[in-house]
Amino acid sequence: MEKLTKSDLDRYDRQIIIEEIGRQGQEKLKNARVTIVGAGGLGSSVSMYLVAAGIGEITIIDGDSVSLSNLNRQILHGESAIGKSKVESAIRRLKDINSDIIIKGICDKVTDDNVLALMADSMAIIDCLDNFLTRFILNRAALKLEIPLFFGACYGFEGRVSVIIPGKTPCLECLLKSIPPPEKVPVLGATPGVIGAIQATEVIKYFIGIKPTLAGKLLLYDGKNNMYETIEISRDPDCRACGTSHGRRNE
Amino acid sequence: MKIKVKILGVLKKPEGKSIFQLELPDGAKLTDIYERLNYTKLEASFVVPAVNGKVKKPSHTLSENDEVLLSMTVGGG
Repeated sequence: MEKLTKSDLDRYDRQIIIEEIGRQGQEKLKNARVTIVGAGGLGSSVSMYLVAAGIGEITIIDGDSVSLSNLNRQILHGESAIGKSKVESAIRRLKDINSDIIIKGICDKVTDDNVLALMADSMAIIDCLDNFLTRFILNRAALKLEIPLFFGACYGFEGRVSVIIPGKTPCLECLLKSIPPPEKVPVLGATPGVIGAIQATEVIKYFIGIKPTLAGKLLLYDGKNNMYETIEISRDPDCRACGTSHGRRNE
Repeated sequence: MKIKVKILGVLKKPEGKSIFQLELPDGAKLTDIYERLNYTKLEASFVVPAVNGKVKKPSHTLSENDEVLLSMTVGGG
């Protein structure tokens, strides 16, 4: 296990003095490896907070380029990055936040064919995607590799967060039975900021040994009315991804 | 029986009200609420319904004084 350096003790001082974290917790973060899928609105918030918090190794995956219409919410990127790959732009910004950790970028789309290879070394997958099809690919990879999946999603003023721990909680497909058709999704820039910060908090809690509050639950956020609701999700025995009747895992 | 209903976010609300009470016959299911709210089959398919804080299937049978929370499946990032 890699130990904290003198510089780490200085950089993460305000975090280390949190009783639940301490030097031990900070060391756990330093030895964590996570994969963030999506360098858009959610990916901006999640990646900046996890990089700043000192997660030891972060891989960010996105196959798109930055466009002007991204900039209301994707605060990783600025006007100078328009036309460049999101991964390239993200790495530049993230390395400026923290050059003491390992930050890797993969400019590619996650597919059924490459998902297992892309996620195999990861200790946590963070879903910062904008579509359900790829989310379901991540969900199945998380189940297969037994890696926790941190789900986040947005729409306008609204957001959702859940934590899937394979073998312990229901999976994403236990919850989402029917998905809306693809559309241009409205998003207020601050919404993925809020939702991504909650995802990042759940990731940090997981690594320092505090049970993620949203494991097996779904957080519903309505920024327009400043409402937060948390509801419990049950495992569906008929789930196509993790259900026992489909020959999948059983706790 | 009386059922308390709360609708979160952009999901269609009767007269714009997000919290209201419904009078439903005994044995009513969540789908009966969708019908009262005039949700189309497509709209209803994207609703995540919770009863007393737990996600339930649309075929779930309701009981007196249940608290129903309806929200929409969202997927942007």
